[in-house]
Amino acid sequence: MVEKILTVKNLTMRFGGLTAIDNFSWDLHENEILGIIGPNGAGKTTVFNVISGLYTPTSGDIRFKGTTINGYPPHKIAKMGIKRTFQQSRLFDNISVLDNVLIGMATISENIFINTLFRRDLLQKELASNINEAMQLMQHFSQVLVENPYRRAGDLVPGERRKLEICRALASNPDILLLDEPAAGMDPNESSELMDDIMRVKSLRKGIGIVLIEHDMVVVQKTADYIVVLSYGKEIARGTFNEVSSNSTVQEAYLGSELENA
Amino acid sequence: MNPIKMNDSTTNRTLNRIITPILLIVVVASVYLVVVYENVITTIAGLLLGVGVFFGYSRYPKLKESVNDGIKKDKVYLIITGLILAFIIPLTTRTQPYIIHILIIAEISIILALGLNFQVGSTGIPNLGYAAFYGVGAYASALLSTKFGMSFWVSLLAAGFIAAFFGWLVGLPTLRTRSYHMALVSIAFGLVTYIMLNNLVFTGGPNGIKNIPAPEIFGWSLFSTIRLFGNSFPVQINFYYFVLLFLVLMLAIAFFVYNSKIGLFWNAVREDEIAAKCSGINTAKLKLLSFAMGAFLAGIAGSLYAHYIGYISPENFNFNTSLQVLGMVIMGGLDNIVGVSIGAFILSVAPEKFRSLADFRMLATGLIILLMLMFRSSGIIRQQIREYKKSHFRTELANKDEGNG
Amino acid sequence: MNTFFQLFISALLVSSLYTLVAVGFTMYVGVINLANFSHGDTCVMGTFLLMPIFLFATKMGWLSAGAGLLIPVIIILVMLLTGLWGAGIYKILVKPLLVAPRLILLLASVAAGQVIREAIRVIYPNGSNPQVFPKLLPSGILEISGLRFGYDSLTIIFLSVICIISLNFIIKRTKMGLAMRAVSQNSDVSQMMGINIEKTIITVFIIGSALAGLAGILNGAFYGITKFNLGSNLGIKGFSAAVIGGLGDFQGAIVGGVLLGFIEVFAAAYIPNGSQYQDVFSFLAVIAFLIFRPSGILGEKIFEKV
Repeated sequence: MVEKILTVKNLTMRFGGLTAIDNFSWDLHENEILGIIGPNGAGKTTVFNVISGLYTPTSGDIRFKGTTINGYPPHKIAKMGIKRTFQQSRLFDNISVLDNVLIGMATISENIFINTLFRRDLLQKELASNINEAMQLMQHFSQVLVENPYRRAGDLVPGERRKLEICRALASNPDILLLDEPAAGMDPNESSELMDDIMRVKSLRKGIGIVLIEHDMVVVQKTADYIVVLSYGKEIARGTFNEVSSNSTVQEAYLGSELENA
Repeated sequence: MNPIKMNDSTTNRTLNRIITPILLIVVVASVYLVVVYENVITTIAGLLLGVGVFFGYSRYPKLKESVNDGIKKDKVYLIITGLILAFIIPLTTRTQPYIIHILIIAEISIILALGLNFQVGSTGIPNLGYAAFYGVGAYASALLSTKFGMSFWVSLLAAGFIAAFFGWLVGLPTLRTRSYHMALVSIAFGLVTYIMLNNLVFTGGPNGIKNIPAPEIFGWSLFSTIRLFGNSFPVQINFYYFVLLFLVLMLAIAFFVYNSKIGLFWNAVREDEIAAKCSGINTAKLKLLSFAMGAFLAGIAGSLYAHYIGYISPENFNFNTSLQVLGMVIMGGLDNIVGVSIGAFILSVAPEKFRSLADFRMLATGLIILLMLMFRSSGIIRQQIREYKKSHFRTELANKDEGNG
Repeated sequence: MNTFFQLFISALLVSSLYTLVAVGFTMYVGVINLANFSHGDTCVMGTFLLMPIFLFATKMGWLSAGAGLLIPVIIILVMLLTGLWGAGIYKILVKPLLVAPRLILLLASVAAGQVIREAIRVIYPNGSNPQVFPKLLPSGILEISGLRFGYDSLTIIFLSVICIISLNFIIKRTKMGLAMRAVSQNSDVSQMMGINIEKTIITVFIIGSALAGLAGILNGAFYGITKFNLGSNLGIKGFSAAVIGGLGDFQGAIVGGVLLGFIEVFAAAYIPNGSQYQDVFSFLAVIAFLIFRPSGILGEKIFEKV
């Protein structure tokens, strides 16, 4: 029996008169990659913003390992073990690559402020093991990151930025990783590298559940175990990639949006 | 390959070996020229020397590299030499109490600037009413010791904590808002404090507080003259060493915090608050901490100032003072402790040295901030990338590297 | 009753001055999300630009020939000058720093304010001291059934209302106004739609600074005095008004300005010793707003864009 780690039930989010998410429900299991797809403006990123605590949902229930977490502040949710990336990677640009990952780790460190002043030895020990772990983590994803860990994060190219963002999120050993359109703006080569990275996350962190918002259908097809389709905040279909892609409502929704975009 | 590039180029080795002593000599020479001689020409010469070295440093990458390496290599040695110099320099000028007075003001300014740097530099929150915390500290300490007869030490600590409490309080309304709201709240707090100090009866109104007692160490007042080997030293020198102790302590705290995870989290808040929240950082707590700690340092500085000068009035703590401290931080280099200290030193000594131009002081402060922000917003010394000890990077990783590559 | 009406009129007067300043603040925040802290000093610059021009006109004897016509011309001339100054501030200071972190730009505008202030103090003869400002407004008192209205207050209120109404017309009805609203909403999209963003922003700076210049002049003319550092107070009050009303919202600036003016005048009148702490009350009001309703009265709740 695979355990459910995240349950989203009847989630609704309204901004003033606009309903961004309407009665949305799904589960995420251990070791599962869940894809959320849908045309532009379907409310996918809003789902992440609600889960990660940036918005408080209008109604509904988000349960993480049995605890209801809606209304919790973002940092608390992150500390509990739900980490995310952003559509446009948001790194800490003016500090080093290594520090970006160390921040991810330090958030779960038990050392309190007083130790900063009086127990330097403990801190040094922790720092050494953190650095070591961070380097190993980055090693799995990119040689570029490891080669010069003192580079400003802001100087990285977009592909490396995304990798670093994933490393930063993984650094605290989360149970759930939310990936917000990681393949946005990537060429086919880069997105195939990304797919490897996603599968690598799965093998590196045993039991981790991944929610993937994506536009790139190839990435979704290759990685997601299960897919939910969202359109104008409402779920219109769910199932495996093949089931969903043959669904006529889904085709219509996508076609409609393509026409609008054209 | 080791992940950290080893810098073993032999070309600069000779230069590397002598660069730190040369640097030290230059710094000491310019400090002497600027501070010690009562002569505008030597002051200007000293400033030019400093500026020249600085330009050479930023123009020639090779020089820059060897200076950086030299400083990194001889860090401990440099700190010890610095402390010894800080100890010796005032002894050489014991016949000129005014010079020592300038140095004391510089010390207090550095403490002030370090505190503001927590907010503006590390956390990236504007604070335009910083002088109010300085004032709160000075008044708290002065009132406690004149009206309630508290000892200096109690007053000093109380001043720090009262100022920190106000820092925390001022931080509260800005947790949900943006940087320009913070700017507004801090200006408003600065003005309100100034108005209050001017109008309240117990603060003495515009006349301020007089006859603030000097600190006593085990019953020995700092206002007593020391005689050693037939030489008598001016009382300022007592204060100089006294404040120096605090300065060293505050510098140590600033460095510890910078290198701790608090410093790291502050940077994260500055770089991207939302990403910081989603990484698990309690940004509200850290912002308040940055306010409280900055204000604490301001409170300590205020108390030291009050007990040194013996007289305070609201005019010491107005908007212009806030801007001066801001200028020190921006000129020295946001989020760089050494830079901020240099900025504070220059901007507190220069006005004393150019007293004839006192009328232009605030114009100059404004221009310095403006020009620095427009053309070199990183300040004299740029904010540095944190580097960790090489021993922290375990070798097994390097081996793995080779295996993979 | 009588005192109440006097207070009402002076509250309206203070309100209209604050509104004129707040409008500029709110428009800058709207188009480029910048709180321009040199805005208040632009007001005072208006008074110091006007005085030499006025002196010159008096010396040439033009004033006695036709004061009624000349004074408006001088005021408009000064407004043009401060408007140009605003455009200059944008070109020289704001535009190059738009790529830098917002904190840098904000601090730079504070420093610019300081430079304006101190430059006035140093350059203007005897600039450290308050300067007598010419009485530009009609004097005399209008009495209607026992209620007395000063012509000068009425003129100021009238002029401000005219300015606000015409600005409202510009924003709501003209092409330029449409561009301003579009840029406030989303500058990327409006650029795609062919709106000249640069031109729009410059226009906003010109209008904002010209109104600031007018506010400074009216303030000086009413109190008959001006001083190099009056701007910091006027600027902070204007910004507070904009925050109370809802930053970035044009109507909000008006509501905020009126509210702040009334709070200040009535608190000073009805609270014992209130006039000493007049500024304290308005700042407390702002802080209360920032705690309980950070988006202001008319501003919508801010959902951070992620």
